Amino acid sequence: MEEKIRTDLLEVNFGPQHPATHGVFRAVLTLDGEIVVGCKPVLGYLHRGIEKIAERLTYQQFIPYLDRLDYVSGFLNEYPYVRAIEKLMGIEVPIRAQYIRVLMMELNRIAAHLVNVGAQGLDLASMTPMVYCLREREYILELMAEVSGSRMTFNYFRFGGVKFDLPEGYLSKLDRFIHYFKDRLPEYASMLHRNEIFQARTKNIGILKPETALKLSCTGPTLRGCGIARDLRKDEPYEIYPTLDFDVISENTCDSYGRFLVRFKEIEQSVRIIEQTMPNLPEGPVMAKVPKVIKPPAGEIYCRVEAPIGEFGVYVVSDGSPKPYRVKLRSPSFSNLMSFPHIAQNISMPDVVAAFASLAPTMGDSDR
Amino acid sequence: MENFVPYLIVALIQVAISLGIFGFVMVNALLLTLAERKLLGWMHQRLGPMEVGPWGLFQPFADMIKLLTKGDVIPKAADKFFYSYSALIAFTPSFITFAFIPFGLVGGIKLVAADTEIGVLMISAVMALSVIGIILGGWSSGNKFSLLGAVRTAAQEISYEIPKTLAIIAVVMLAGSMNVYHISSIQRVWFIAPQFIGFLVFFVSSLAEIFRIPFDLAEGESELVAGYNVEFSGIRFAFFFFAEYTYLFVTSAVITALYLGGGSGPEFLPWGLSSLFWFLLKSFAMVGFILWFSRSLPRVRADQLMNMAWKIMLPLSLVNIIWTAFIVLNENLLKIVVK
Repeated sequence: MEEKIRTDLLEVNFGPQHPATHGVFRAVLTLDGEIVVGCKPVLGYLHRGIEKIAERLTYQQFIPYLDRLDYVSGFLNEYPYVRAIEKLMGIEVPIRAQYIRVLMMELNRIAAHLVNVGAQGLDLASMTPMVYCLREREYILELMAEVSGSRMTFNYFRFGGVKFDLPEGYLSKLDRFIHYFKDRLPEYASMLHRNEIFQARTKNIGILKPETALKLSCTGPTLRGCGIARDLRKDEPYEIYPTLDFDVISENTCDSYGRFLVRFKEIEQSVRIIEQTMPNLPEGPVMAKVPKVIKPPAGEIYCRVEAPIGEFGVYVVSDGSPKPYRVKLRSPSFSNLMSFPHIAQNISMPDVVAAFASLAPTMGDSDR
Repeated sequence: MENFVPYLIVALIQVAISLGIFGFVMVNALLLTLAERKLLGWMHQRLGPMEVGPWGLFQPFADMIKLLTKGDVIPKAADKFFYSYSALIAFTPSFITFAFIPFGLVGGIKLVAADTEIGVLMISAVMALSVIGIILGGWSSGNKFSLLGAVRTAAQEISYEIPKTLAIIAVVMLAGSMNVYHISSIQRVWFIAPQFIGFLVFFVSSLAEIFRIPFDLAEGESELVAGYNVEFSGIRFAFFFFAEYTYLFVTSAVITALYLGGGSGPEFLPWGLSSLFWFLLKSFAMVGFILWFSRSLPRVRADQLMNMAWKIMLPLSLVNIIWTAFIVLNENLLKIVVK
């Protein structure tokens, strides 16, 4: 009798048009009932050829394009490119500009983490924390817009400094926000990772072993969620990070829960950094003396920083002309996404959604 | 001819009652959509719908017009017959359940369309019929996501039907009747107190049955896009939607009748209108509670849902029955609980 009952594997397109794929990611899932037995990511739906565009633009003209990579963390995309050119040309950045840069980058890190933390809740059907997270993010976006003139596509960092100085009374506004924001964090915790259903849906789900993560060159919270405390802000410090006191968060759980928790705790660390930066902000210029036409000497350089999703690297080859010969971007989303088939093996379809959210990729960043 | 007239009058009255209930069902479902969106908005520190009419009050009617005027799309892969009628199969039982709900005792008339001795049984039996519509709808759409939603629905409904019925049985034991009006009017102490475990089981099982958020696996928008109703649009979708909101109210009304003393409360209106008032107030408060509850929690997974039904809810409901038997057999205790 048993032989007559035939079951089939079901092939389901998870994306590109799917509410939980954070953009246009597509994975072809093979389901046995609800258990995923096969997962094939299909990338490139948001490919815009940004690296190629760089080759026909001058060095300055390319900066706005970087905001459009990981569109929730524009400052952190601009920074490695700007820093790469500065290193290539040997430009010394004024100390005030460095402080402002770190301030903006950490604010942006909070904003990006808030989106990802909220989205994790949303993908578990918990809509309310997402809206709360976006509410606070809105506050941050306004703060960042006040400095740069734009909410998400900033175009603020320049070779040798930043475009504008902080507006008057900005620090007190920032201070108000930090006070307001610190009270909100326990609220999210109670709705997200302290919730029993949330824990049941994320703990021991989407296991990524440390050795696999390293092999696939995962970085950021994805790697730190595997218990490997690697953070470029500590390991290869840049700007004023060596003078700041903050912890590198890592969780040994290797699951969706761990990756979520790393993100959540990093928000607190970013708040700590901002609190240390604000009172010490020195006076002075925000721009170094830089030639009008940026012509780095012929050569190549690789520069990487810790973006919210992971290690964001920029490789620039210069031939001494005003336009880069080649720009290669190493985006954390892409590398982290490579771990998705490993994570999505033999767990059920809803858990795949939760595990995907815990990687928090941005498709603009991954497909470039 | 003379014998015929009274029957005609009775028939006309029944038609009038049916139309009245129909009107109530429609308006209730429409207003609940607005209520949910408003409540959700306030929980999110938003305003909710504000554009259509004063304070967004006409939003549900605008939605209704939009759904009614939409094109009638039947997917190529769909099984046309079942696809066309599944929405009706899901909706009709939700409407029937209203017949058994005791809204109160106004002017000496029981506001129950069908005052039968098996009211409670009928409500849960008729509610279970809707599932057939949902399963048919999910299966006949010819979509993989909706098929998964339908299969989940089948498993979920069957599992939660059992603890829910067992919870009802305990109430019936206590009241000594299956007549819903009788149960709601006999409570000296609201049954939520002696039946707290039963109430919990009933509440959770009901949430699972009406697909509210910790248990909305059939729809699960983050994994199954929209579950069983992925392919539905226009008036068919509206019917599924109506069924869902009607059940939201029916469930709240049943909880009110079984556990919250029905229409009992301080009398302050003439002709017993206060019983209607209290009943509706309690029911809508319960609706609000369910909405609040479901918007603060994430969704569980299918296997966790099953585990909960069979390993927690079922034993709890059995324990509850034993506890109820203890009350029923103890005369003094029983006198405290029921009139």
